[in-house]
Parts: sequence; structure tokens; C-alpha cells
Amino acid sequence: MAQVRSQVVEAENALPALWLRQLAEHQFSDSTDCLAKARQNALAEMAVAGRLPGRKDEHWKYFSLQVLENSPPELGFSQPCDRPVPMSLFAEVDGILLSVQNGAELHLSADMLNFLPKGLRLLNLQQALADGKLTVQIQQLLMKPELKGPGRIFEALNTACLDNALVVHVDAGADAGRLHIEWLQVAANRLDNFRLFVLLEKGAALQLLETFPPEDNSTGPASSVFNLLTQCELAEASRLDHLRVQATSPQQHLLQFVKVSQAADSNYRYTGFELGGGLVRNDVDCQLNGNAAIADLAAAFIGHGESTIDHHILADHHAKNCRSEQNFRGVLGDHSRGVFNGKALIRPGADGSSVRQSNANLLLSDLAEMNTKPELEIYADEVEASHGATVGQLDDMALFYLQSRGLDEAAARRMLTGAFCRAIGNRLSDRKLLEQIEAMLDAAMPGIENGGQEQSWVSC
Amino acid sequence: MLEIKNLHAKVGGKEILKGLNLSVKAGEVHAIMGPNGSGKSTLGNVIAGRDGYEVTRGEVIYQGENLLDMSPEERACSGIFLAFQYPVEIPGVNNTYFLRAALNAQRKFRKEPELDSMQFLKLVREKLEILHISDDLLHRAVNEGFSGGEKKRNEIFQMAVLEPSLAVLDETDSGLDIDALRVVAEGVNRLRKQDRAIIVITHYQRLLEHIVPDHVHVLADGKISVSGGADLAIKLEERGYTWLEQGGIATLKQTGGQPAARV
Repeated sequence: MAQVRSQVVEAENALPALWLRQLAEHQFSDSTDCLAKARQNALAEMAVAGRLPGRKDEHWKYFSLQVLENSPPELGFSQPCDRPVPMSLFAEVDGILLSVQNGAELHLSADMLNFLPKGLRLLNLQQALADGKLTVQIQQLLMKPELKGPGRIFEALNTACLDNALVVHVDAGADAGRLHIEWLQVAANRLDNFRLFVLLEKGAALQLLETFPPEDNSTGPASSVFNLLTQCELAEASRLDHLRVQATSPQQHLLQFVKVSQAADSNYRYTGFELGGGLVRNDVDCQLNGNAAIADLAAAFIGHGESTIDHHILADHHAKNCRSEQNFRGVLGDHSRGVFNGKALIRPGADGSSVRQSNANLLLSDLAEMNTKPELEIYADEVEASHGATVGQLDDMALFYLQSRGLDEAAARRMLTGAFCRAIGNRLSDRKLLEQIEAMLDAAMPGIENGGQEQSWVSC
Repeated sequence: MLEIKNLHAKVGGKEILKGLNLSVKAGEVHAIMGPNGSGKSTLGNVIAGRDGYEVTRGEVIYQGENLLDMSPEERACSGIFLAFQYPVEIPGVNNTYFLRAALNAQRKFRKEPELDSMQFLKLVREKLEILHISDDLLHRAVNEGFSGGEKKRNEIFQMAVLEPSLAVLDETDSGLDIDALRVVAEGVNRLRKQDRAIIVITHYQRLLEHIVPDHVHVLADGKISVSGGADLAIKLEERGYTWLEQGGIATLKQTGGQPAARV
């Protein structure tokens, strides 16, 4: 028994130990004080945590990292990429395009920088740290994320590997339009990290479209892990419209941590479409620090094969009259697993807060699984709050209704599952983008095995 | 067009239809009346092919083919239409999109060219007038947030667009006010055709004042207990179903299926 236990511990520890060894040997290109300090701190936290999160950690309970333990990915430290990488998703939609392969440092060409809309700046980390206006803010952001414990080990890893980053800055009052970043992964049994900073000055506006295309399969079935940490600072009355379209392959694993800090009257809007991937983890943490800030978060996710799609969402209300919304819709087929843990925390004094949480899910197969937990914690007065979660199957009556009008069963099922996710798609005002995403949603719908006639509804 | 012979059907293990016979010819309108629980809606659902309605004996022949071997969509594509007693709300599916997909699925089945959105819109506008339906209804999700009257009108509107050979209207009058009833009935009357048969399932004679049937059948305990002409409905309205159960049937049978003289 003792032997079995020690083997388990060894497996859990193997990955952090591997990464720590690699990090100890790695030569970083940038050793600016504040950066070196951030890395050291993160390394120390990783060493203390010592293991990957697992079943015993509340926020990782349903997110099994077994796949990584079975074939441990090495850290990939990408060399700067100086050639443009072709875009594959939405290449024709308007906006400034950036393409990043395997988390490599961006080559920001002078040509491109000259064409940026007024008020939008793209900098790498060295440039930002040398920029009088941004130095202090970046230094603070480097030390800001909480890194303690196994549950934060990927954020710690991201910081421990931090050598470069992309800093997106929008000047006060400027509307920078759309910035489109495509994250490409070429599989090679490795784990890549990337850090993104999005800094919006007072009254600034930006749409950030992030796309994750399927990998090019020509290199064989190797897996890849991409660990992306995004820190967004929204000054007063600024507006960030954050869109994410993820359509990766089953052997691609994506970990995303978004940390948003919001000043008064700012508006953060997150809309995600999770259509692929193997292990997909999205943590979105909104700190509503100023009065009347709004965090409006929504996503549609579709599970296939053996995939796991996990959303951990936090709206942390510190100030008065803030509003947060969480609307997450999942369609799970095959043997896939979905997780939704949405929390709204209304701190003392955050009076007049308004919170809505909703998570609805469709299970399309007997083997699919959904774990949902909408949470409210309220310590203030005059709060308006609602939350609910449902897990069900396609409505037989609706299915029969469509069939009785001539649609075959497969078409009827597609129509109903598509409709289920439409509430999320309708958040997009760009019709061209919406049409493409809807077509992708249709194509991504899993094969449906009817899981019996019984309907199960869970309400919290 | 439709021949039902000795039909027995179970729902949830309970036998509801117990030897039903019915013969419907093209161009005819048949009314099926009967008390609650007599099996009227079961008949509609069996004809449309709903899951969970198990036929244990008998046969249903539609246009020379065994209907019971066909899937619900094959039945629809072969010209069968059921107007639902409780039309289903389908949030997120636009009414026009749905109806065009349905019509094109049927046209494809019949090897007719599919309609593009312009052609479809033209067709739809013609049909809308029949039922005094506003354009607005087209842009909404299927039946979502529709009033009872709007839902029923939408059913008949779908029937007008899909042009079935055999339409079964399941309690299309329930939940309608007098004006809405008249509009829906007028819509149905305009869809009466030589090559189309309609089966109207109803509790009350009221609808049959507007849609005058060629034949009236009373369904009781899973069988047609008596059949007659339009005035059978009037008789029932006056005396109620209990009168039939208490020996009225015998009276009717003696008069050759016609109701006895009014008292």
C-alpha cells in the first residue's frame, strides 16, 4: 500500500520536478531586476507547491491532468520568430492581425507598427519596461498574480518562464478597433507559455479577438500544451471586448488564465467559443474595483471525444453598483466532460451590486458528463442576484415537432443544438464574424447518441 | 387516402386505442369528437409517428403504403401534417429559417428543386395573408413567447406553406377566442381542396360551425362508437357524451347513423 502511494506521489511530482530542472538550466535573455525577481518568486512557489493540482484541490477536482503525466511535456522556450505565420481563422475579417507560433516572441515589424490605428501600441516586454509611462505599471503587474499552492502552479510556471510578453496599450480616449491575435501551436510534446498584457487607459476601447486554429497535423500526433496568462488593466470608463474562438485539435491542451482589474465605469465583455481541444481550462477572474464597473462574461462550449472543458469564473465585487453577468452554455457529446464553476463574490460595502449567473448544458451521450456549480457569496446590502444551472438532454417533443415538419432526425438535432448556443453567438455585432462562427459551431456539433428518453434536470 | 383498420395502440404500457377503424378519402373533412381520454390525440400522434406510441395491432395504410413503417419525417415528406394541440416553443430557431428548412427537406424528398430565400419569402407572404399574420411572427423564434392564438395560427400557417395531402388538426380550437377561432377556421377552409383530406380533432361542435365536416365520428374508449354527418356534432353538443354512453348510440344506430329527431 505504501509503495502504491509513493508511486502516485512520484507521478504527481514528476512534472514540476522536470520543469524546475529545465528552468534551473535555462538561460534567459532578459535579466532586468524586476523580471528576475518575479521569476525567482514564481520558482520558489513552484518548488513549495511541488505537485500538479488534482482531485483533492477543489478547483481542479474534475480537471484530470493524467494525460500530461502520461507523456510529460518539456518546457518549450521558443526562439523569436521573424517570419510571418499565415493566418488560418478569420483571415479576412477586419482588424490588425498578429500571429504567434508556439508562444514565440513576436517580431513586431516596423511596417506593421506604422499601420496601427491611432492610440494603439504593441510592445514587447523590454520595450514596455523601458517606456517611462508603463514601467511602474508593468513592474506591479509582474508581481500581482497570486501564485501560491498547487492550484496556481500553471500561473507560477508561466511567470517562472517569463522572458518576454506582448504588451497591448491603448491611449486614453482612443478606440483602437479590433486586434486579432492567432495562437498557433505546432505539436512537439512540449508546453509553451505566453504572457499578454492589455492596458486600457481612461475611456479607451479595444476589441481583442483571439483565435486558436487546429494544428497542422503534418508533424504527427504529438501533443502540445499552451499556457496563456493574460492580465488586463481597465482604467476608468474603458471598454474591452474580448472574443475567443478556440477550434484546436484533440491533442492540443490549452490553459488560459485571464486576470482583469476594472476601475470605475469600465466594461469587460468576454465571449468565448470553445469548439475543440483536448484539455481546455479557462479561468477568468474579474476584480470589479471601481463603482459601476461591468463584467459581462459568456461562452458556448462543445465537448467531443475525450475532451474536458473547464470554466472557472470569478466576478469579485469590491465597489458599489457594479454588475456582473455569467452566461455559459455547454453541449457535451461522446465521452466529454464539462465543468462550470462560476462565482460571484459581493464584498462588504459593494452595495447595489447586480449579479446574474446562468449555466445551461445539453448532454448528447450517456457517457458525457457535466459538473456545474454556480456560487454566490454576498456580504453587502441591496444586492440583486440570481443564479441557476440546468443539465438536460434535447427535448424529445421539440425533436418530434421538427421531424413532423419533414426534417430528418440528424438535421433536427443539429437545429436544436445550434439554437442552444445561439444566445452566445448573438452577442456579436459583426455579422460576418457571426456567420463564420455559427458555421463553425454547426460543424463542431458532436455526433449524437441519444442517451435514453429520461430527462434529468438539476437546479441549484 | 387513409385506411385505418383495427388499430390498437399503447402509450406508456396502457392500451388507449382498442380497434379503431377509419376510412378517409381525398377531398373529405372528417371530424373526430369524443370525451377526454377517449384517444383522440393518441390517434393524431400515431398518424404523425411520435415515439412512445406503440401500435400493437392493426394497420394504417396511407396512399397505398404502410404508414407505420415510415419515420415521422418520411410521413411529413409524403404529405402528412399534424397541427399540434400544444405547439412546441423552440428558442433560438427562427420561424422563417425553420419553415424554409422543413419545406426544402420535403421538396428534396420529392425530388423538386429547393427554394432560395427570395422564392421562399414570396411564397410566405402569399400565405401570411390567408391567416392575417403579421411579418413580425416570421422573425421570431418558433412559437417562443407566442400567445395561444398565435401558436395555433402559426400551425395553420405552416400547413398553408407545406401544403400537405392529409392534415390532422389536433384540438386546433382549444385556447382560441371567438375571433381567433373564426380566423383559424377561415384559414383551414381556404386550404380545403379536392386532393387534400383533413381530420379535425375537437371536443366541441363550435369549430365545426366554421369548418363544416363531411363526416363526424365519435371516439369512445379507443374505438369509433358512432359515425354520422355534420349534424351528429350538433346532437352531441345538445346532449353531451354521457347521453351517448347511456344508450344514445343505440338510438343513433336505429336511425342509420343519423341523429334522432331533436327533442
